[in-house]
Amino acid sequence: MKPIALICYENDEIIYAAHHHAALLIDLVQIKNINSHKLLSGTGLFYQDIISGNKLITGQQYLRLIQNAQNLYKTNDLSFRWGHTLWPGHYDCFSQLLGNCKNLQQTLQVLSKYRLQLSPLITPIITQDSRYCYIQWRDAIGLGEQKKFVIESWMTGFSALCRFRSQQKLPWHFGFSHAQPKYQEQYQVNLGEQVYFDLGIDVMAIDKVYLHQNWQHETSTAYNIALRQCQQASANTVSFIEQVFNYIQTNIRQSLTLEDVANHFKMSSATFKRKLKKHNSRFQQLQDQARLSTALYLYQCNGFSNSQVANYLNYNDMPNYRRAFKRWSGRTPNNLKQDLLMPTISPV
Amino acid sequence: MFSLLKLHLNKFLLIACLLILSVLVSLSIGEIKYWAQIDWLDVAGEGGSAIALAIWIVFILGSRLRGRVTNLLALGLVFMFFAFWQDVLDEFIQLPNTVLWNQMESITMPIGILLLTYGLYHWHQEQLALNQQLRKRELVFREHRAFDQLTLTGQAEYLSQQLITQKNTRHKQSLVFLMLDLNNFSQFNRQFGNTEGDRLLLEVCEIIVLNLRQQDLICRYAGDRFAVILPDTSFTLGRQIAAELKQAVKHFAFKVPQSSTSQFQSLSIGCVQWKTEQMHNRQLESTEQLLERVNLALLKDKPIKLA
Repeated sequence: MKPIALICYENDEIIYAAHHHAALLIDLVQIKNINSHKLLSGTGLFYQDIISGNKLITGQQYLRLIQNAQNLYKTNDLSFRWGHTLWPGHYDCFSQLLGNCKNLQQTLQVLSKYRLQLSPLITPIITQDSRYCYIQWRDAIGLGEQKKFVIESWMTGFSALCRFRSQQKLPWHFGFSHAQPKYQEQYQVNLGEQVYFDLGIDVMAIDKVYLHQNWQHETSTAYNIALRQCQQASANTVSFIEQVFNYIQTNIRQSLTLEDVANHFKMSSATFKRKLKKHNSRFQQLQDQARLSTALYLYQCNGFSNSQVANYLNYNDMPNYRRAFKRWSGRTPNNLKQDLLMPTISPV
Repeated sequence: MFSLLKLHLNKFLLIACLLILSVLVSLSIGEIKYWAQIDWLDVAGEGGSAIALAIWIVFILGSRLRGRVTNLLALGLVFMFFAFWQDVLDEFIQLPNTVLWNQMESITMPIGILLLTYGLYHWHQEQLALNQQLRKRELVFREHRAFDQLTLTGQAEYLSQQLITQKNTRHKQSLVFLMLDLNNFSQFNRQFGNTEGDRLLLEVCEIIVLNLRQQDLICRYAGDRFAVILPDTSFTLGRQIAAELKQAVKHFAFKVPQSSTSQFQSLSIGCVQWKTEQMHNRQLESTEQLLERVNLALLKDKPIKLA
């Protein structure tokens, strides 16, 4: 396979607009009269930079800001409140495009196409089977400890966007990779009753009939103008972590080693390891995630049995596969499937 | 954290002056002891007590506004502090053995204790008055860490604790549990911003509190969802109170700076009775089941929108 010629960015490159999603978080924290110096301490940013409206920040600065915000804000509703403000947002033509989509399908397309501008920290991966549409939210920059916070915001945000645009509460199902937190009531009020934890992946699912239901949509002119502007303004970029993950995922059936992947990206093993570490990731962990997400996809969308999945992923015997699965997700395949599998015939 | 200390700057200045004055007076009339004469155990004991009292003074003043009770408490502690302080000075400075001096030492401590006692009595009265203000926001026990900073009501955790208390203490009376949710709150937030949204929540919470009885309790569950416990209430009465709350919020004309028209709100309310004991089984349903049931009832009460 040839190395892919995409612009790839790392988490110490200035790439994210500080006055977009990050500024919304700053606004929320400031409602509590928290000093902006404290909030920005350690990020190397000044409040003046952010309101200048053209400052770009790195992934590392972003994560530090999120961490500071959590420490200062103290209560556990910040991620959900941030989520409610995220979309359509005020991200120039990208927000205009997102806010003028005619249905859920188009919204999903726009979100994943312009994900650097609209969804900078997590990448939405959209798949469908015969009955459901799934959005898997995948860490794009090595979120590390901030992952739970950002995932909470993103899922809250996307369901709030759908509610805002469709004028009704869509019956989303939410699955989280983290364990059920103490503040369950926040999930209940902000997301609803269909919330599952410890799933190994972060995923939202909805019945496909909602994909094409028409939303409030007065004119397609606004959409088309925004689309042209977006096409001119964006370059096709992908983050380092995504690029590595995608390569592992594509070649999931051949058990790649760290050296294989390093070679593919034309760097030494040591450099590759160092770069992964910089993104709060390890090779083994990425490979485990890729295998888990493949396994879950095969269970849910293709209706595979345990042995079929084990076979697909080149595990010779079942005990071996079960042990590996437990390492990836913390649960046995059958135990996890109880929460994961969506009803395929009964209406939601 | 100690921003209230600013209000008491004059008191601290006075204490500092007195400290310096006492050192100067002691030095002028007494003589410094030799190193060997100093009893270090006494120094540690009395000095430690003086430091502890100083810390108490800082805590008391740092948590209170100016006022009569504050003055009494602080004055009592200051007298006690100076009693220990003088003891510490005595360990280093040999003072002339005059009557006046000895009396001054033995008088400051009792005066301090008397003032502090008198102050505590008034603090007790004040606390009772404040409890009245917190009525309907707390029942039986207090836990400030479980309080929501915006509406100053208990959070979900405080609510569960309260439900468990109710479950353990309640015998035959019926309890009604309400779950209230503001309709279209996210829409409001989008339109007018989070600052206005917070203000709306706070004011709606006040409206609900005004319409509750003395023995009821309100908690902020999460976001725009509030929980209300109505102890010793029949289901019929509970539903009536729920209907009254809806009416009260419906007629509340909320003003926002961005718009000249009032923003009217509506509530959805889930209303359930905590099932009284059954024939053979005296167990109540668990708090988790109760929460699940009330949230379900709330969803049923939500207005249905046609797509």
